[in-house]
Amino acid sequence: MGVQEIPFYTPFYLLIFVLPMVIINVKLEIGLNKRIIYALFRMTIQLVLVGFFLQYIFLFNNLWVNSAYVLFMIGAAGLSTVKTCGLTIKNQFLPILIGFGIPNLVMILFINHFVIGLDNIFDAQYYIPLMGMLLGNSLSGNIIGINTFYTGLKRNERQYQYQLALSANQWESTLPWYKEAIIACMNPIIASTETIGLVSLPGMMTGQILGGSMPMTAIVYQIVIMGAILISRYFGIHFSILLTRKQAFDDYDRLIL
Amino acid sequence: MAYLEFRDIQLKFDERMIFSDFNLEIEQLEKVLFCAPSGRGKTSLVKMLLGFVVPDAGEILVDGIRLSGATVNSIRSKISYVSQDADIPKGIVRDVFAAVFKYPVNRHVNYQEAVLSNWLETMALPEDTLERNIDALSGGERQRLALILGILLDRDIWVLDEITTGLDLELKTKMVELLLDYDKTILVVSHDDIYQNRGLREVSW
Repeated sequence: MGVQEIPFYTPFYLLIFVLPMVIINVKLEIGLNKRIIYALFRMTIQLVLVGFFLQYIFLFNNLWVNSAYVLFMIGAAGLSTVKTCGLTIKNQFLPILIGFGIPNLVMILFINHFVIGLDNIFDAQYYIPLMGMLLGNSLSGNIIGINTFYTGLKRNERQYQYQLALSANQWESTLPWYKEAIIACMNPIIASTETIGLVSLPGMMTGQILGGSMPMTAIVYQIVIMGAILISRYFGIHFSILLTRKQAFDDYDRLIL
Repeated sequence: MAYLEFRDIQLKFDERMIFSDFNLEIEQLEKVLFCAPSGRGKTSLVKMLLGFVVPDAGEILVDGIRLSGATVNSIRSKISYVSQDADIPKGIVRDVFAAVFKYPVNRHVNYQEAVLSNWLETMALPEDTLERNIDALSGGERQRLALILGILLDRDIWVLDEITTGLDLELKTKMVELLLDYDKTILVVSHDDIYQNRGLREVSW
């Protein structure tokens, strides 16, 4: 039971419904048209390019090529974190890269070897899409966590300094915001882990079922990926803050971001 | 050599020169009132002493030790800093106090909750303050708690930055008299007349 192939032109049928959206937006002066059309256009181009690329990668299915692609994903995610969080690319790109690259790499290889039991743990079919899911989640968690930590610290600078004046060390003085950051990072994923499957079937499961897997197989994969996402997100944010904070303070323990 | 020394201090804030070639010496146990007009950097001056503001040039010496990244922690540990904002850590008063005295640097201080209770009374704070959350206290109450904390830490230098704001005259007078009675090196930042004629050395610039 394979998936029904879609011809290249039929996705454009959906545009039939976009037309009334555009008309309604014009009539009601809801300024969304530009963004909707741009987003749809960009999404299509982006995915087609990735699709071509992945076709070749799957064709080679070579340890080094696959790993290079995974490193590219980690790099893109790292760059996006640094930019979104307003960190300096020069000083903080590498710490971020290591900070969430390592936990996710360890997690994906662990799953492939011990949980799924693959002979080739670098097999593109598993390595790349699963890593993509882990990284995507780690990325959003990292952005929330890092932002919470540094903006919280900045906003409460006087309280932080008062702690230092009381002779708490840098770690003790920043602990309230560190904890806040971990909680802020984990909250969304905990909520979605709790309710998953009740409201909608998760994307990966949907994909697998469409691809012909039995629901129970898809469920087991989903359980694994949810657990893995939760774990790597947790360690990712710890590592990222711990590694970035080395260069975020000066000799006087002042925040210099 | 004086106990506290500011030598040739230069400090700019947003391109505005706050201090240039500023020099000041303070002897041990001396009580000093910084009463320069607003915007002259009184708070910046005491923050420089604590290493929260670092001068662009010049040096600061505390008891013969030059303030730097390497010495900042030991210098901070000699100073009780109480500011008008009184940003006491969040939590239940009792726990917050206990936590502060668990920091390695403060462990030598013999802290007991009973002592804190006595101080609450002295500072006209209700008895149940111990069980209350810092967030639930008024600004004036927090300020007095910060003062108690400052006193209990028993450090050699006291930096009191606008600590009388928002207190009524009676309480203010009582507090100032009590504080100035201690044999400590005391640096006061204030505009309040309450410090006049109490034998403080007035420093302005």
